Amino acid sequence: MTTRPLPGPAGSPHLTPQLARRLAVLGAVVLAALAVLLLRLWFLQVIGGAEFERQATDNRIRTVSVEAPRGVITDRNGKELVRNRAGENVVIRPQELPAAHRARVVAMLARALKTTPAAIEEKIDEAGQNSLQSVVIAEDVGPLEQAFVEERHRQLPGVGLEATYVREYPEKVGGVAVAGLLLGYTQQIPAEEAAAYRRKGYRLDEHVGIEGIEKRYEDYLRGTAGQFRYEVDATGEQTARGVISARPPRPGHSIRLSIDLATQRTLEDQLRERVALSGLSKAAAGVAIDPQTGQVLALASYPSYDPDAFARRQEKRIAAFWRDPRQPFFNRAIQGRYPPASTFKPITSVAALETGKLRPDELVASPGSIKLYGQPWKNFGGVDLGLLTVRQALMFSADTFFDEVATRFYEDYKARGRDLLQDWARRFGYGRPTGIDIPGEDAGVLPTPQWKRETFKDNPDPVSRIWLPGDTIQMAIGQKDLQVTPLQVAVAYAAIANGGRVVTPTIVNQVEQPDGTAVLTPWRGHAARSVGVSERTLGVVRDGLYMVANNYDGTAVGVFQTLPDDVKAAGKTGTAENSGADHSWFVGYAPYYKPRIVIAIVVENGGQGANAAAPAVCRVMGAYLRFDGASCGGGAKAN
Amino acid sequence: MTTLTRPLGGGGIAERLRHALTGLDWILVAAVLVISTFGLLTVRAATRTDIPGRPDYYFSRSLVFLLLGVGLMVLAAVLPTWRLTQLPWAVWGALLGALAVVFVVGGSAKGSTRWIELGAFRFQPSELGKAALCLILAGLVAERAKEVGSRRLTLLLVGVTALPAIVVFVQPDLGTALVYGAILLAILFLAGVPWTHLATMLAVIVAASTLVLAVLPAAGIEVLKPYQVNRLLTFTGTVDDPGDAGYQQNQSEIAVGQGGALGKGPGGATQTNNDFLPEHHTDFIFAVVAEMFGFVGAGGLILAYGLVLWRGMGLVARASSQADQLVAGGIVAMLAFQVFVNIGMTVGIMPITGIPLPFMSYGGSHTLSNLIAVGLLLGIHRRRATI
Repeated sequence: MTTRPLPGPAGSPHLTPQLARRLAVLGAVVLAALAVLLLRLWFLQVIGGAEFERQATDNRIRTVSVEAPRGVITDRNGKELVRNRAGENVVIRPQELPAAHRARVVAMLARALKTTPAAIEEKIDEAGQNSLQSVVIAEDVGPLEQAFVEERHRQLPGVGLEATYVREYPEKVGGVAVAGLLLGYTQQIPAEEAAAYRRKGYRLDEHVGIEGIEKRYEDYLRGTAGQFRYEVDATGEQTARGVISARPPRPGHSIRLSIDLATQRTLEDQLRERVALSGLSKAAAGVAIDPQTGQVLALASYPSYDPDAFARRQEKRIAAFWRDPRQPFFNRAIQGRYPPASTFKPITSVAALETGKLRPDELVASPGSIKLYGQPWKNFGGVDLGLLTVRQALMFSADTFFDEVATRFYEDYKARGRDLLQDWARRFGYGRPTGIDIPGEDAGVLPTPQWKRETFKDNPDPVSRIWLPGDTIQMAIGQKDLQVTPLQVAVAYAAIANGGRVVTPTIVNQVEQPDGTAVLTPWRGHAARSVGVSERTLGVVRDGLYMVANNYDGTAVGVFQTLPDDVKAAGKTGTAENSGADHSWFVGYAPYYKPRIVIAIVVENGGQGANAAAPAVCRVMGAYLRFDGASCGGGAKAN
Repeated sequence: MTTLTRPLGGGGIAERLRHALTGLDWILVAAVLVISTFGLLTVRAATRTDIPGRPDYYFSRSLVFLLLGVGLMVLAAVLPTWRLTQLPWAVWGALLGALAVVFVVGGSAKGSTRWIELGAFRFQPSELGKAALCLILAGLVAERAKEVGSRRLTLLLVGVTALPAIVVFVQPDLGTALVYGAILLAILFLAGVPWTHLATMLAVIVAASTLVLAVLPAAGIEVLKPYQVNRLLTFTGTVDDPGDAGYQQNQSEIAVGQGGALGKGPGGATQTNNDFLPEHHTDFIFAVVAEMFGFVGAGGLILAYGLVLWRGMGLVARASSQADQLVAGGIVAMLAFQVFVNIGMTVGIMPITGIPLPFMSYGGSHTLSNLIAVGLLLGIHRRRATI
């Protein structure tokens, strides 16, 4: 056994110089180690503190965006044309999906959602691996998929359901949403517009209006998404501190159209029916406006795509719409160009009466056929109508009467270089857009000598560039080069009906906050422009239009003569020549003494105006003026 | 030769107590008690929501450990522990025996078998082995003082350390095995082993690490557990692991950084309270301190450890025997190594090795072990002071 040595009085006798040195080294090492720790601590806490604080905040604060319902669109009386239905999206929050589980989770989801893992991965990559925002993997999934995600949420970290809204169309005609073409549809932001929408603060998986009202009023219809910020713990569960800030979603503004649901429904129904009845026709269009205000009461083009197919993501139907040679995305009522045919004769009449080329009671011969400037012209069926006043000429739609009147304009052009007929057509709104508040409107074509020079300047035949007498004559009866849209025709007739004011048609009555307060009233913004036509002239033309519908010899008397007295109508037929079968036109307004609705309808390749278009116009009038469509006759006498 | 069983002769209990108190290193006692109390309160603040319905579970257990530890510290200070340095082989045998018992009846957590069940508590012999090893090595050197510098003694000490270290390593508990190594190095160094021996050992360690981490795995032999390799590789940046080891260290750095200069307070420590910080009452308790009390609190804690280590090194210089000097040196190295590796891990400059922070981390065995070590230091101080 060793002996415990007795210690010395000061310090240890065992503190050799070597031990002292080595102890100093140990002390230096310990000091250095503690200094390193302090420096590192200073670096992390004092220098890096703010950045780590931000990271800690990212750690514990979840921001969840809550979709706001898009505004609803109603007819003039508040009946909903498009609204929202609640749905559920399957989403992935990439930050909460551990990398180790990603492949398995994506594969599981792909099987359940009937898509490919690659498609899901692509969506995650687009948003970014560490995105705090959720990424929509599947929109508006069915109950089976919802149950799948909910029941397996333990196996599917980072996967969840998020409430969404889906467009819904309660009103249908023939299986297609009423006014679908007007409303337009919504879809995820198209790639080519991504940058623009991102600047406006959109998430790229949001739905935006692609066509029609949905597009034109996107800024109003879009709601303001709500945002919830809440604190979570490491497992992603909400902590006791809970919601930190909550901004509830604000629904978008609702839009009240000027459209009258019953009138719109009847118009769409009639277009479909007339096309079906005609045999040759494949398409038709029509528009009804309030002649006093310009408010569009109905506007339709047949055939039309169904926006519900987009809402329900029916890819096959959507593809069929795009393939359809009848172009269901083409809005013929504002984009279709047609020769106005005889519907232009009232404009010719106004021009002749106002410029003194014709007196109201002047008798002009309307022979079965006539040779003018060496060219033969004839009445429909070669009928000699004898001497006619302008009223009677309108009633009979007497071509040779207006051919003769046209020569007077041509002589004026030759003598003084004036285009009086075109001037008046322009005053009624032809040759330029009406200014309706939906995109895509066509201006039509109003031919003038200058137009002809420019249009045919590359044609080797110099004669093609010269304004010929035949050009004026064709124009006076609305054939050949003059091209108009149904909307332009309705606006022009509204001016005849309302005392000479050219209104700007509007489709939106007002934009309303969810509580009903109007924030925008587009239709009030437009002062009507005066044509500058005398009441006397208008009276003469109106007489002629009344006789068309009510006189024994009128071209459309068979359709309108039986209407009740308080809704007597006036109007004009038209049969537009084109490369195929004639287009059938009718433009009319009612009640005659206090016009409330003007309707223009064209049935492509529908034959004579009185046959296809006039009965449709009568029934649409009935829908708006509340008389029985059965009061309308079906047939017609002549063009 | 006469054998003195007591440095001072005779006297009643009162007199012995008076001697005990006058001989205490009050600075060391105060520093350790302040750190321990701070650790107790930090554990309390960090664990109030960890077990629903039992906010004081970890606190009350910590309190028991601390009181028990202080009792053992006093015993170690008062009892003639120097006798143990005279029986190094007996202590060594007891240590190996206790470690062997773990393998037979041991409980395990997170894939490693480390403790023996003792009633409501679990006891880890490997933790107590740290203090025991200081006594064993110091005793062996003192016994063979004339042989210091010989290869034989150096190899003997390495071997004596290696056996328990390997047993601990395969439990597996890499951290504690490394602490054994630190104690060995410090005692060899202070005993006056030539630099050439130390350099050779360093070379062997580097070679062994390369073998274990790179060469053997390439040959299909896995020495370290996958999680251990992962931790080391994550730390060195060889693999970029967003989960597990990399996640822990990242969250720890965020917690430390978020504390800033003055800290977020116990209520505002979201990294801790929302469980983003893993093991916040054990291995990562320093990050809790840093998050709650900022640079002021965390830096102050480091300075407090500095004070403890300073007192320990003073004893190396002044102890009354070579054995006491080396025991003190071993304990300083053991504490310094644990403090540096643990805090270094929470601030991202050391890999995750699972070494607790002395006097702070929750856990019975290492609390007792570290407080007993402090008791040994106090005893050494007493023996010196009472001359």
